[in-house]
Amino acid sequence: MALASSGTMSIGGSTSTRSINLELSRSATATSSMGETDLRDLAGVSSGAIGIDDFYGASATQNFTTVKSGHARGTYTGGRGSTRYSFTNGYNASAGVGTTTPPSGDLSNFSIVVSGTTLGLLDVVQHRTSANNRSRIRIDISGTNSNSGWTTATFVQGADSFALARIDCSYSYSGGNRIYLSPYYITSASPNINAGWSTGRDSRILGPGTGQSAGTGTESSFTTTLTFT
Amino acid sequence: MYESLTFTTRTDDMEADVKWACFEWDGIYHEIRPILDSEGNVDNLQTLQECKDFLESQANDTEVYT
Repeated sequence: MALASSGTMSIGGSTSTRSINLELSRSATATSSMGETDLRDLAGVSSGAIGIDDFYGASATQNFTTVKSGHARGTYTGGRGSTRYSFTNGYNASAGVGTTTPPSGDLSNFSIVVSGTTLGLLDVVQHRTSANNRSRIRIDISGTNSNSGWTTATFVQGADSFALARIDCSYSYSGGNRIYLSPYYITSASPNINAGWSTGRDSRILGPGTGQSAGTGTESSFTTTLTFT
Repeated sequence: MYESLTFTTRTDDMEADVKWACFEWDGIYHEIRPILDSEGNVDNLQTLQECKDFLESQANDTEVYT
């Protein structure tokens, strides 16, 4: 249950929507500090000043991250010398086939907290389309080698949404980085994540809110909500 | 290539009916869903090939995974 969006709020206390301790599944009288990592994660304030107002609307049962997408296009030579296109969208995404400038983007909250447990920092959120109009999603989370802790990552941008199940992804681990790669989707069969090359924006979950993501750049505002459950 | 590759299986921590094929190659640890036979058991031969195909697809991809 999320904390109240306004009014009285305190670290302790026995009112479920107004007690930070209860939201974090701690006892009502537990000794907690606003500077603690768990409280900062709950508030979405990773560093610097933090106040009680930062906890309005916060929820420990689901962690919301908003994504300001970076985007990059590239071309490459396909069969019989044809010109093919690829693009990447997202936060801190890697360069795709034919794209030389990785899109950077931004996040409003780097930590993933599910049911009050901090999984780690979100390092990459990427939507990429490459050869044969195949499209997939990549999520990187820093931390220990553990393919666990979350069930579904749900992307929402406006009326478009896409739910990615952890068990549908491959998992790789190297150097403190957990990498989840979705299966490849054929873009024509995945309208919830991709609108195609010629009409609308290319990534319906991590692309610009309006227009197409031609060229390279970064969105002017956060548009995608990513929720881990 | 990948002749020396082997894999182990494990059950998912959160979903008891989900299995993973686990393997390591070039210092990178991977888990993919294994191929199951008609009785729900892991098909070792097909899963091993799936692991090799996964590594091959990664090798042919321009993304950097480290």
